[in-house]
Amino acid sequence: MEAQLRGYLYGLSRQLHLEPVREREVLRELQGHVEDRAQELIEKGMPPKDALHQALKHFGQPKSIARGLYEVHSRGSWLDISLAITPHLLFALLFAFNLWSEVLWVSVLLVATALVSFLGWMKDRPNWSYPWLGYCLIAPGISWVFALSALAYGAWSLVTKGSLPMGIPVYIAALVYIPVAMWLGLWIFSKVVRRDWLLASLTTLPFPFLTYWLLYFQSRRPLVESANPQFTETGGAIALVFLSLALVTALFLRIGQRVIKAVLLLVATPALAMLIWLSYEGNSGYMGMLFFSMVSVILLLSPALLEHRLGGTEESLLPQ
Amino acid sequence: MHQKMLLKGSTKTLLLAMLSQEPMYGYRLVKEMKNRSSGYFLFKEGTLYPALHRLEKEGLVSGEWNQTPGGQQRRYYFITDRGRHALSYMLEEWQEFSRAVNLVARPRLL
Repeated sequence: MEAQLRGYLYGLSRQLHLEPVREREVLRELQGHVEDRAQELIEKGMPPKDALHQALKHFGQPKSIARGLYEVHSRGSWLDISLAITPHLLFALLFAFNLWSEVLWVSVLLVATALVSFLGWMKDRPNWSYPWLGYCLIAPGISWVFALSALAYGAWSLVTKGSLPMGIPVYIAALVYIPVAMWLGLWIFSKVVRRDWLLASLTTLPFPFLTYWLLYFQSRRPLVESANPQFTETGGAIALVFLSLALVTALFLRIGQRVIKAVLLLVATPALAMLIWLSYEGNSGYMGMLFFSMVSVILLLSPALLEHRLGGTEESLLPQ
Repeated sequence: MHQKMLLKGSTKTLLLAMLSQEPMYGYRLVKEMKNRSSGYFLFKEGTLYPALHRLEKEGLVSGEWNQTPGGQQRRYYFITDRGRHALSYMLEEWQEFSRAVNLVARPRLL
């Protein structure tokens, strides 16, 4: 393929943000269109290079064609929306019925999220699979933080007391787990960001709230205690937040325009952060509320900056 | 501007009407449309492909990779039964609309 055409298709694919198989097919179809026009111009006597240049010029800006195609394909069907909101609803049920401390239910839910995420990842990463992926990354994320803390505490004990609080195999496992989990997490996240930073933001949607609850309850009483009364009392409120996330996800998938999707996430996330803060901290600590809202927005927007740095689409999606 | 608006409202009907005659791929559709309308309808790619993909998503057409007489692989669009029903309804609507416009626009005979 001509470098000029390849460059054009690359520019187009950076703005398409479609499911990989669909994107490959769209690019192939548009490539055929450009080649047909160029061929016609060549047959009229134009030099091949000029013909291709002319054909691409006629095709117009990649941005406008990409916008039109994105609006058609990014709008999910009702089935897509039902599948996308299911993990939020399942987590809402977990907290509404105070099942969060039941190891069996939590394990079933985590295994289900991992399984669905894996299937979605292998089956062309449809848009509905990203909320599942977000929840799937929670357990490894939390265990990564615990492994890092255990390692740091072990190192501190070794220096100050001359002994380790846990057996050496635990630290070896932590030393292996920390870089491997980090690499895998970053690899997955970079893949999502390259596809579409908005989908990466949708994936991380529950992260700020889950982190807040984890820190809030951990600072008051260990989370693992099944009889943690604060957690049990606020189960309904937590379930409502998950229901709100389900609603935001449904709207996100139903809207076609990227700008409106971004605005939805940018409005809903800090609004939910403020509501959570007010329901837990009361009217005190407005600076804290502002900080929490800002952190949630920064987390939400970080994929956009990453996409800019990573360079968008994958080369493998371009037709040969 | 007025022509652009008219075209926007008729894109779906025009594409379905073309595809009801024979399956075609994007580039051929543009050319045929231009030829049959004596150069009146000049579809831009930015309009054509989103419109075709929307029709496919609505189940009014289906896309399939086939070989052209020249040997290239191109994505042909076929009208579906649902597309034919939609087209006949749209054409009926169009006939009524254009008849009404003509009645209004025609100079009144004294």
